[in-house]
Amino acid sequence: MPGPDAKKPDPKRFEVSRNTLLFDRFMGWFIRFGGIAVIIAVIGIFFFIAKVAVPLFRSANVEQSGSVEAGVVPPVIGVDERGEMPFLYEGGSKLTFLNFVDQSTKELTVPGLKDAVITAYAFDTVRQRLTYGLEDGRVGSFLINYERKFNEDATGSWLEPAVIEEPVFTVEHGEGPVTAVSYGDASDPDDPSGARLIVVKRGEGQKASVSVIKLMMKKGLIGTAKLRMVGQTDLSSKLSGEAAMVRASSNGTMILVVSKNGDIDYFARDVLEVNKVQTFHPFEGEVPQQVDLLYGGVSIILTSRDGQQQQWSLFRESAESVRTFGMVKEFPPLPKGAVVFSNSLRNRSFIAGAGNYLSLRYSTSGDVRWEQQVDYKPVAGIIDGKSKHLIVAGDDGVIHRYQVNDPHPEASPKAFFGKVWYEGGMGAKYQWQSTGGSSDFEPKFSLMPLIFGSLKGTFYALLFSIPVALLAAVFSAAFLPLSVKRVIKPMMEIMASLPSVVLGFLAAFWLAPVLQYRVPSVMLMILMVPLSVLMIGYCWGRLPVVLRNRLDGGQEWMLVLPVMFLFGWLGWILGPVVEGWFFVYTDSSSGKQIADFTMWWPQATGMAFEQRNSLVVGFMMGFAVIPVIFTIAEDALSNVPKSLTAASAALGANRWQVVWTIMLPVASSGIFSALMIGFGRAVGETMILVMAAGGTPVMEGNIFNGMRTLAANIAIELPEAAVGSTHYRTLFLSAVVLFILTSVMNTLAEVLRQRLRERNKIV
Amino acid sequence: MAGSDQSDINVTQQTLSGPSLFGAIAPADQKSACECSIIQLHQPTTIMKQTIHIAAAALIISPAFAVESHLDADLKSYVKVSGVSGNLNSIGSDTLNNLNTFWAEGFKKNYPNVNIQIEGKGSSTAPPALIQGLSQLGPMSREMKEKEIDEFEKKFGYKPTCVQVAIDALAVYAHKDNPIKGLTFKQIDSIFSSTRKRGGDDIADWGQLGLEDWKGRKISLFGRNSASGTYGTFQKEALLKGDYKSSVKEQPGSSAVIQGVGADLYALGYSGIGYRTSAVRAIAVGGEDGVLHEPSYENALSGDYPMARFLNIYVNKKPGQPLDKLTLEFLKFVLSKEGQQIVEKDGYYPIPAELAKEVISALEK
Repeated sequence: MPGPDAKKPDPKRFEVSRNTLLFDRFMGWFIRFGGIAVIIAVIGIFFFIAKVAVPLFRSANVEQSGSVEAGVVPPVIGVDERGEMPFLYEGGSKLTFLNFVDQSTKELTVPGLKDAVITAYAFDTVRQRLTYGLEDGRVGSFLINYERKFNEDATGSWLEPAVIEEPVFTVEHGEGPVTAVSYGDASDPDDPSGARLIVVKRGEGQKASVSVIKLMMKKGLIGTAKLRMVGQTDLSSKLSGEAAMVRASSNGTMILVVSKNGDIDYFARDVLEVNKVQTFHPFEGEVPQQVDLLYGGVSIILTSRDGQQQQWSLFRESAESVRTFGMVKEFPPLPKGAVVFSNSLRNRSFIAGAGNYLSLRYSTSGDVRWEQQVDYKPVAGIIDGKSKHLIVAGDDGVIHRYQVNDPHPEASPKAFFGKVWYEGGMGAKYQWQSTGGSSDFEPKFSLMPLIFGSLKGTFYALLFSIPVALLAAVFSAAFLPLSVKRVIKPMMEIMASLPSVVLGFLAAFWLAPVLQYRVPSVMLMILMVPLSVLMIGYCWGRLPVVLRNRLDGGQEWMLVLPVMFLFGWLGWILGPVVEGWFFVYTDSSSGKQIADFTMWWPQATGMAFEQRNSLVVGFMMGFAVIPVIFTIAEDALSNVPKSLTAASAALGANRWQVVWTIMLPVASSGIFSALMIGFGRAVGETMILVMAAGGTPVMEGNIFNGMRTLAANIAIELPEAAVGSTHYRTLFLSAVVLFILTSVMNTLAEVLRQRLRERNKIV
Repeated sequence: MAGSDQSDINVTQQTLSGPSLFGAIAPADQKSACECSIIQLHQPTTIMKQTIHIAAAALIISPAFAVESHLDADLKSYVKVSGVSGNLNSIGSDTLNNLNTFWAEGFKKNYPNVNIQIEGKGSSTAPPALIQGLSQLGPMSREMKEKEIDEFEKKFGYKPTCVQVAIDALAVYAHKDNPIKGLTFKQIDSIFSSTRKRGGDDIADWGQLGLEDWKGRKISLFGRNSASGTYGTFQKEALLKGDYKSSVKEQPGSSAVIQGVGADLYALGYSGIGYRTSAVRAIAVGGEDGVLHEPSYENALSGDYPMARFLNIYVNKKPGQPLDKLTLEFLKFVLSKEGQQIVEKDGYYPIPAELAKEVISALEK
């Protein structure tokens, strides 16, 4: 303010300069723009991720895409992998190929069948193999091979079907013509076990018999193999009744014989032996009309005459028992009538039709993906190799083709978040196992173990880091002299810049092996170190004031630190001693006793002890999380106005009272923010968990085993997931889940923080 | 026994234990930083390689063992041809990154005018790059999934061509101090699988495998991450396509498996043979007949040791037309004596001459 004897003040002196005003306005808009841009970017990222995940929830789209007049009602229909050229077979030596592209027809004859009398036949879609049985008790087979030919510049192509005949075998057992036949073949091009078998039924009624021809086709990594017969087994004496149907799984490991009384006998094939494992009876008192194997050879779909449909799978009822069939799922019923069935060679879909009804179903989820009433009665149907077309032969002599667009049948809310009974499992459960070595693997896409893992990892990380970080922040803000604080705080902040890959590497290959046999030591240290500090505090308080005044306020740490280290060291040393007292493993058979926590824990609790466990992860995540929480909390505490702390000190509050009654409440909202940012860091942390958490998608809270988190799972699996596949999109879905998880938590926290701030508002 | 087998081998100093380092750090780093490792094959490569040498020496995770050569004597030496120049791009597997870099280096010695770029971000990056024409070579440590082949076929009308460039045998590893001699497939299945398709009883304890002193010691399981080819091959061969137990610790790289097993006395893990170190022992494995076989080259080729697979490079070859000259010459180099020497140096098994000849003639057609 100008003095009284100053000259008349220049009014311009009080005006803000034009430049400053302009700059102010510019910055105002600039910051607003920046803020909005950040919000848009975050929303944009969310939408981008969500956009990749959304197609998972689309239902199947099936449309008719052409038909061909065949003039016959074929019992067997097969097709090439692109659904262009189906073939029809009615027994005999003739195959009719119909071309959907140019509507032409082509016939092929199987030379070996010219004069043969075929009495039974079956078609295996997996290998495109037709197996036939003859009147004289011989069985043989041939493969239908579609070769794609290209023109000169590879712009156009056409299919060239051919027949490859396979050896004919004479059935040793039984008599009469072959009445039913089925071929099982494990010889994947890359599966070296090479087991094959043919199940044959001969004769009818009293004279009926069932036997198995065992074949072998073993080959190394390269070179061709030769098919040889390794024996034949007569199964007739082991059957529950006269066989009505025989089925060999397409992987050649099991045989099902359906009796006319409705019993199903299940035989398993070892290398040389065929053993009866189980007899089961689905559909009380009824004979199943259809028994069909699903792709993969561990599940069967049974359909009764009145249209009930069930899935039975091989699994163990208890840990010790052998794998037997049990009912896993029931599908919505079909109308009555003859059943058309064909399974996809890409996933667990299958078509099922009866009467005028046609449907596409998916076995893992038990869903009906598509259904329709058609104006003809389907008599035979097939899904092409790529699962892009359904070819259905109607009773009107027309072959209908449908285009299928159902890229993600595996996906459904139930698959992601519900319990599903997977093939081979011992019950419905949450399971993540996204990819398998072969295409017939049933993917398991439950996100629950991953969400659980994320929360578990975060919980243990925060359990360890919140007390340490907050106590450190309080100590640094309220007790430490400025000179020391100037060194400590930047040091803690530098800790935050440690790359988490390095932390993960250290955790996995140094900390984990060290901690594995030192758990009692760690427990003792966690107990003893804080106790030692409290003890010193107590003793210090008892000392005469003269002695205490020798040390300036805030210098006590020099006294505390050595004692803390001493007790920490003592804890480490005494760990094995304590282990010998409490954690003794007793061998149940020999009574031998071993003092070892790693063995005691599973015996005492029934839970696993892993080297890479949550304890290790919690420790290492602490390095990443502590600096974050510490810095922000420390700032909040340091920013408590000096006027308040000084005033309370002047009124006689001691240092602890100042902290407890003034600093903590005033800074509470800031501390809360620190915790939330720490939480965010822990939830999103990836590399430490990838390297040190073991990556086991288990759902146990057990501190001594690992976990797999959403973030770690994405990091591990995304680079290898086929772009656009269900697996790929599911990983994006898990990113959406992670996003929602953190934003819900943050929103809740922000609301809480605002309340805290309102309540503790100063002035 | 694998233990004696190893100690008998004269340990000549092998400088680069490539896979162990690359497997552990490189992919991890890439994922966190979300950037691709583009290796431009000029000076920087050698510098980078030197740093890797130094890093390997400094960390001394494990010196690689020099095993006797399995190189097929009939493999032909590479013959230089004229008129090869241009750019060659390779996008795909990070497992094959190392091998690819060495091949590119050797190839460039013959053709200084050729510029080769190698990107290794994961096998699944190979098919999209091939489809979009961004690369001529698509190295993959697994076979292409049907879905990926479909996409390729949709664009070009024909299927991509798979070139087998090396053999990788899978081994079951135990800690070097583990006394176990070998395991049958049935035991392995009982240890690793939750569905146990081979029909054995669940095995979780070393005592169940006949190690009396280790009764009560739980078996700690290590494996590869589910999307890797190693995971799939092991699942198919050993578990008969059954499910893994969820207690198998899935590691992001093959060498992480080895390091995990090497640091845990009671561990068991599986990984490629190329990653074997002195801290672990590749144990013998018995097939259906129960006879144990060492994971040797001969056993892998004959099929006695059944867990073996090919490493592949996918190319876009029009049917009925030979491959373009540059790509063809590169693949010829890879399948030559020199190229297969590199394979062996990197710890994998070379392919037999017969197969190399077959593959090359198929590419020239």
